Amino acid sequence: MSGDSSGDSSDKEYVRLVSSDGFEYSILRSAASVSGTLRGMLSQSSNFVEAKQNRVVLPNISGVLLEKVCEYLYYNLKHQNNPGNIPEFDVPPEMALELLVASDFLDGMNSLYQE
Amino acid sequence: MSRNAGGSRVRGPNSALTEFLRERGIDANAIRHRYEETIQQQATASSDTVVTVSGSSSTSRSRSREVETRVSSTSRSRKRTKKKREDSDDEGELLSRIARPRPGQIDFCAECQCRFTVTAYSKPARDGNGLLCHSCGSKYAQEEKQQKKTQISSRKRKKSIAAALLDKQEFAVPNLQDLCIKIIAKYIDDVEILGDIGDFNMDKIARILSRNRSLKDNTVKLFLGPSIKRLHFWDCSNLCSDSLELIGSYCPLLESLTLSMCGQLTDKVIDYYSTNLRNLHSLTVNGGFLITSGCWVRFFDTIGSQLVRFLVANTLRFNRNSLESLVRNCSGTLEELSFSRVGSLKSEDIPLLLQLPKLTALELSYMRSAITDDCMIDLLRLVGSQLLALNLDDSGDLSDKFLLEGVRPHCGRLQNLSIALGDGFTDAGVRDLFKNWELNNGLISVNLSRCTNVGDEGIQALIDHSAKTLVILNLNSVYQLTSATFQLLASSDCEFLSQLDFGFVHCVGDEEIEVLTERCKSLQLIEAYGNIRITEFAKIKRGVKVAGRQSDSL
Repeated sequence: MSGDSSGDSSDKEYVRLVSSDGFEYSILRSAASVSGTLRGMLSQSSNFVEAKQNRVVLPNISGVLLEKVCEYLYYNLKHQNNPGNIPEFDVPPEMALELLVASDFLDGMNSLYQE
Repeated sequence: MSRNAGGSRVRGPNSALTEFLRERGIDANAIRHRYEETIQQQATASSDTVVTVSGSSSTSRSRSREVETRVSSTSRSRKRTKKKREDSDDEGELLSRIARPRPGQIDFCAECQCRFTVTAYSKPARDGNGLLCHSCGSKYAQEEKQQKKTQISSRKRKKSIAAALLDKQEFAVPNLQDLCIKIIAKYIDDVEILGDIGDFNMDKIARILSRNRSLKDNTVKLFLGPSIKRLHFWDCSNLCSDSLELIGSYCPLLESLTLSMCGQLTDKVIDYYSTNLRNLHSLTVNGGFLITSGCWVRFFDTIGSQLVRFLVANTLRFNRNSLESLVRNCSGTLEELSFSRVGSLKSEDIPLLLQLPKLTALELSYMRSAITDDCMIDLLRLVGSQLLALNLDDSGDLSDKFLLEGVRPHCGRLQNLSIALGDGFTDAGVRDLFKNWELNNGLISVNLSRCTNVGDEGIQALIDHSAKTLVILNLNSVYQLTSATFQLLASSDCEFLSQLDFGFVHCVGDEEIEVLTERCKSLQLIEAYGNIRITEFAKIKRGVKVAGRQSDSL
């Protein structure tokens, strides 16, 4: 991807999500923007610390959970322009309840609200 | 000789093959003649061969060997003559006209001109002349396969879009909450406690469980808790009365309760609710046919004075006694009342509602003959000025008189009007209701579905009156409408109109729907079941869902 380009632009391209237990996930800004909450936190027009540092600390989401969240963000990003015939997104049953709370917090994980 | 050769023109029934061969001038006699000719040729040719062979080795070979050679050379020569025959011009032409080259034959590729053996799988060339060799054919085969694949997937996609439309869902990547909720609903039997997932999600899970018919005695407990204030169970058919009673003991702070399809709801449970649910102010009971009239009397006597909303549907036991108790106890608070398919209430009972002065929303639907013009006019005279919503679906005895003497002079604040299946309303009546109706500032939701006697004038008057406020408009099966009405609807800037149903209104076609979606900026959902003139070619603005189009599901 654009990892080879200058450090400055790749800094902007990727953002870091930090889980409650200290795991850091570096994901595309466009993927993070799938979530309404993250989009708001990272939007350049806001004056939030998150936007300045391109780093969001999520103290209420554990590392395992955040990994699944990132997986979904990319899943949504990949398929949002072609929603027909997409593979199922796998959610382990034991994770479903916690993931529901997390996704509720991150909210707007839906390409609908993006337009 | 065959009968036909005798010169008679009489012919028996022929098979398609015989007919075909005759058309092509292929004759059994000619073929036999040719065969005999070749046999003769062979005879001379083979004797030649035998002579040469035997001549060359006449001294050393035994007689038996000679015979063997003769046989083999005979078959070889037959092969040769056969090939000669096929290669000959007139014969080859005939063959190519009848069919493609046979498998096993040698041919030249129509594209790269290389020599190849024809097989059953050889592909014809694009222009139809000749066959392709294996490598050229497989090059195109890949393309064809891809084409077929995309064709199938696009067909599948079209189908799933149509299916999603039927559920009025946006066709998009499912959001994570919904994915999780589905999983939870699937494994609900293994869930021990739902935890703090929020009212909204709780409600969603309850809905899905109801839809899957898996709201059972063990799963219902997940939704109960001392802090719960609202509970909505849409399918209680699997809940026994003991489980329903638990709601009363686990959720003492409950304010709003909905129980649908609650066939097992008994008097005992309702009595328990009335003593335990001290904060209950809204109750919806659908299908509670076991609850006796006396029980309802006791219920209203106990907590009627706090009821703000009371909705009951599908029962035959809610009768005059119950209603008397209701109006006696709830007159000070009740704002929303709904009776739907309550067959035990008769027309002489309806005037009791006159004792409910605070009503803002009233539904008396599917009560057929229980509703009359005069009693509704009396009622509207009392509460009409504050009424926001009025639903009188399928009240067959209502006529224009109700519209002109009840709704028009009294319902100044009315926003939602539903008079579906109103056979008694005429075009003129609806027109006179809306024409210069200055008392009312505009309706938000109007349902005139299956008011079959209403036509252009009535609906046009409605549009003139409420165009600026309308959000939901249902004109399903208002057959007499013409496209002039829809042109008016499009040209009157309905800026809030978001849902429109004109199913089975035959005048609506591609042109009308295109103009409508173009001009009504907020339009989100159009229901067009049975509009055969709307085709897949209609240019519909992005963001507008059209449900029920025939071309979507074919």
